[in-house]
Amino acid sequence: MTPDRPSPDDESLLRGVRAGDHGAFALLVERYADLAYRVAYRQLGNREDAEDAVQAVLLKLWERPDAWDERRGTKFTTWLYRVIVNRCLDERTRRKPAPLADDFEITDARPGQDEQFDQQQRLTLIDRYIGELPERQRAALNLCFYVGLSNREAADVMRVNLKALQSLLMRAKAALKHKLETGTVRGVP
Amino acid sequence: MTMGIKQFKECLLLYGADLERWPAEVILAAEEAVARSETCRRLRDEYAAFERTLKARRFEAPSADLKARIIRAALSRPRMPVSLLGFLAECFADFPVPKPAFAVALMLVIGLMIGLLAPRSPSVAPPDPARVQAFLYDDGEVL
Repeated sequence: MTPDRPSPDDESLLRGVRAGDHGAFALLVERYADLAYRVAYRQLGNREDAEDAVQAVLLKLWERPDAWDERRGTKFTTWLYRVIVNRCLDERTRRKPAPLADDFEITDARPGQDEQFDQQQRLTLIDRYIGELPERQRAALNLCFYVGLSNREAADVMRVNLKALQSLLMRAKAALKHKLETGTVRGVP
Repeated sequence: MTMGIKQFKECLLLYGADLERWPAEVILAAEEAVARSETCRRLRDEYAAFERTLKARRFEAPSADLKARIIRAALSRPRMPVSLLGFLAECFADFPVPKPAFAVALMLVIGLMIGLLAPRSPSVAPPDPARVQAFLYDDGEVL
């Protein structure tokens, strides 16, 4: 029985990709597609668009193997997050915001009404409020809160300084909290 | 150092309701604020409820065949060759010379070579007396 070989690190795999090694590319996809999808989904809000974005970005890495260059000093994951976020920002700029459905009902948030608030409606509303945030605020929220990056890592991904990232994050959360409190959604029981 | 309500609120927005995830430099002051202030405790609890609401946001898992699709699609995609600039950068990657220093040294070498290869004879010809006369007496008038 042969002992398990340690899996190659990102840099080795990326060198393999540069040399045209399809196996190395496959390993990278296995390793990072889910992560990239999580970022894209949170930014775009639906599976189909998120999968398209992930596929486009990872295939670009195969087609243009020098797109990521380790000598520039950027970690591969930082680069990947950055390219995904930028792709999603472009995608959303092209899309028009979906109008509210005619039968969409804003429920009164006074005590006693909470029980009637359908869970589906609640989730739709959270998505809507997050979707209404300015793009960069939403990106900061997604990277820090949903993907779990530190503020510093998210700042690197978004190519802003730490203070700017923190400002985006605070404004995003403060706006959301205000909307959820004064609007319709109370805390999940 | 004590932490005021305003700073506590800001930290909640930046680092979340779990104080253990706050930066080391503020964590002690934050714990002290929570122990001391009823307002801070209420704010923390409110913020925890807010986070639970956000966490409940829906998430659809990717298609089961997403990775396979990407890996398969790569096989039919043409690959661009590594760019000339990338190739040159790769060639010089092993030289531990800082880039600005390398550029200055390269310019000095090029300048030296141009200096050595330039013609040694004077490039300014002696003035031709006839041309000087023609210039001075243009249209028959002394300028």
